[in-house]
Amino acid sequence: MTPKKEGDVINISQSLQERLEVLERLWLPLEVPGKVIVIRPRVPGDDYTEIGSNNWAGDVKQKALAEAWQVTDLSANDATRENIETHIGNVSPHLVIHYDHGSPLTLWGQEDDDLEAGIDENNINLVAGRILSTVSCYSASGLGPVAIAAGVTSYLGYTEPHGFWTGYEDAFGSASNMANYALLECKTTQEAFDLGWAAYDQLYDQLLAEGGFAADFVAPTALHDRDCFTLLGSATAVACPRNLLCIPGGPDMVVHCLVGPDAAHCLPGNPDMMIHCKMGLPDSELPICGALPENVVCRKGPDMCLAGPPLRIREVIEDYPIDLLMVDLDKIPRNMRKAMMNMLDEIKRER
Amino acid sequence: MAEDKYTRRTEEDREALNQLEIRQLEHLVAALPPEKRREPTLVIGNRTFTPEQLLQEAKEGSEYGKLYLKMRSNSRLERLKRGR
Repeated sequence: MTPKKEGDVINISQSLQERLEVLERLWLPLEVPGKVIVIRPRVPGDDYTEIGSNNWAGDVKQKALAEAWQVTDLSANDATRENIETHIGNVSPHLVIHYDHGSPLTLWGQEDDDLEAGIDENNINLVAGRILSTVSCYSASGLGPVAIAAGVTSYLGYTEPHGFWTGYEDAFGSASNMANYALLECKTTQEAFDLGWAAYDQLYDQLLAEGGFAADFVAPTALHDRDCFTLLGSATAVACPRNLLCIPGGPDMVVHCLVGPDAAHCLPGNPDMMIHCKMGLPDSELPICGALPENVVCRKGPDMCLAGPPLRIREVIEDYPIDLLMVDLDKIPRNMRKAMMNMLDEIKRER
Repeated sequence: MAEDKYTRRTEEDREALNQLEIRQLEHLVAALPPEKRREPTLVIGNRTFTPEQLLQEAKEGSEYGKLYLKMRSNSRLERLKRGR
């Protein structure tokens, strides 16, 4: 390589590095609602599922829909083992929520109005890389550790029987649902656990304060549910996928690693960088193979922009018209608008 | 020898506490109006128990009877911790 070329490479690298820094400021890393499977049997004649858990899970489903999650609802006879396995495979959920009976190594589903083992040590591997939360008996004592060993990110469940009292099912349901609501709100598993624990604790306090039957008979069950509620695995995991959102009018960037024959113009192992602008700005690809400084990180995806349709005009980007950034709020999901506007304000202030 | 003594005494103490819990539960159930003894119910796992049935389970030393007594015992301690 001649000195001139080396100088060119350095200039290009610096230029690209500066550009990367500008681009990164235009990304909005945001945890957004993902995909959830809700498994909730309702077995005829079975009080736990008919009076309690199926309805509680129905509330969780509504919460998920309100938070803009993509929900797969496996209720009653839809909660077969086959359906559970198929949907986990096809939907690839970020979060699996189960309500119903549990045994030490089994989460129960339902087929033909009867219980059927839904998830156990033989298929728990399907949940690997995801968060599993269950409101059911026992399973955190056995299936929980098996799940974590099989690669499940986090497991929220109960180590002993989970109970509630009729006449108080709504109160117990609210406490049982609290951790799952938190997961759906993109809180960490530890935060979800803490909120769930606190909800039972608060219920216990309320029942004691009520006195009489509530304090003497019902409250001990709320305390028991609190004490056998357990979090296994990662305490920092978040069920919501993390997306890099591009601002309408601004670029979204993806740095790809191309290795081998697909990257004929790249040196093997070196990264190729492509900058995509999908929101009304040019779509540009800048191959810089073989000339990257070592400190350029080779990243992989995501390349999703939720804020609107792509507009492809090929043109090399040299200067980003940051001053001209136009934000079409209608194209931004409602729950992201505030964060988006704050970021734009910050960019403008800094400029 | 010392180990046997310890084990025996511990078992005796445990049984004494158990009987205390049962007697207290018996007293509470007896104080309930008749309709409350049969309703509402504790739904736990795939079983459902009225207060009367819980007392019976506790006396028989069944799995759920023992579990409910444990809940009550833990609650008693928690109330003491909270000064209630």
